[in-house]
Amino acid sequence: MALWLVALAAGAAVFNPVADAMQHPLGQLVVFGYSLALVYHGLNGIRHLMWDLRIGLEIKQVYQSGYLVLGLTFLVTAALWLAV
Amino acid sequence: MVGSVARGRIMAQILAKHPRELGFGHWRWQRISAVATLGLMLYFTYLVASMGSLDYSAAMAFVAAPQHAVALAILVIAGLFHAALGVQMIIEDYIPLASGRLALVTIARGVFAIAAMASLVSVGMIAGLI
Repeated sequence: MALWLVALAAGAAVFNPVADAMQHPLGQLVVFGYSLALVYHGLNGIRHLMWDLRIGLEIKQVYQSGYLVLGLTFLVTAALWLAV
Repeated sequence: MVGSVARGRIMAQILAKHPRELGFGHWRWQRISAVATLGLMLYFTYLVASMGSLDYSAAMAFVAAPQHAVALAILVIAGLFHAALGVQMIIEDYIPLASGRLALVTIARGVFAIAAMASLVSVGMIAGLI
């Protein structure tokens, strides 16, 4: 993200190679993995904040929310990429 | 065995002596920055996913738009602050160091501070403020 912004501010000569790398299939794979990790971190963060509020602390609920987060991660990430 | 009242008094003494060493501030700021970033999380992920399809002029126009410039600035500050706290936690919890822990945490903070500064200056330049 910082790299992308700095490259953009530095001008087209710096930005274009960065954009090309991101558009390359391997670059897209990296970006996709990053987005997947971001969505997972965000959803699991909500799970942690709920625990802080003493919600869902039973061991069965902990497992359920874990699988829920995992499933939602793939759904949300897929939805985002389909929307782009 | 130490009673809870005595324990509370001991904690108060420690807190008075070393106000930053109990870690509560870290815990609290980690959650504040988490909630601050949470709302921008979907926006950011959508942006990450669409970065590949933006060419130079489209990217410039996007970041220069006031609403995006402000959102990105908040995201950079809150997000990298959250990241610095998270990395500090990883260092403290998972890297077995006899010494040099503070130095490592300071270096990590420096790296995130530089990334945040560079990003903010970049957004300012793209938006035509600098």
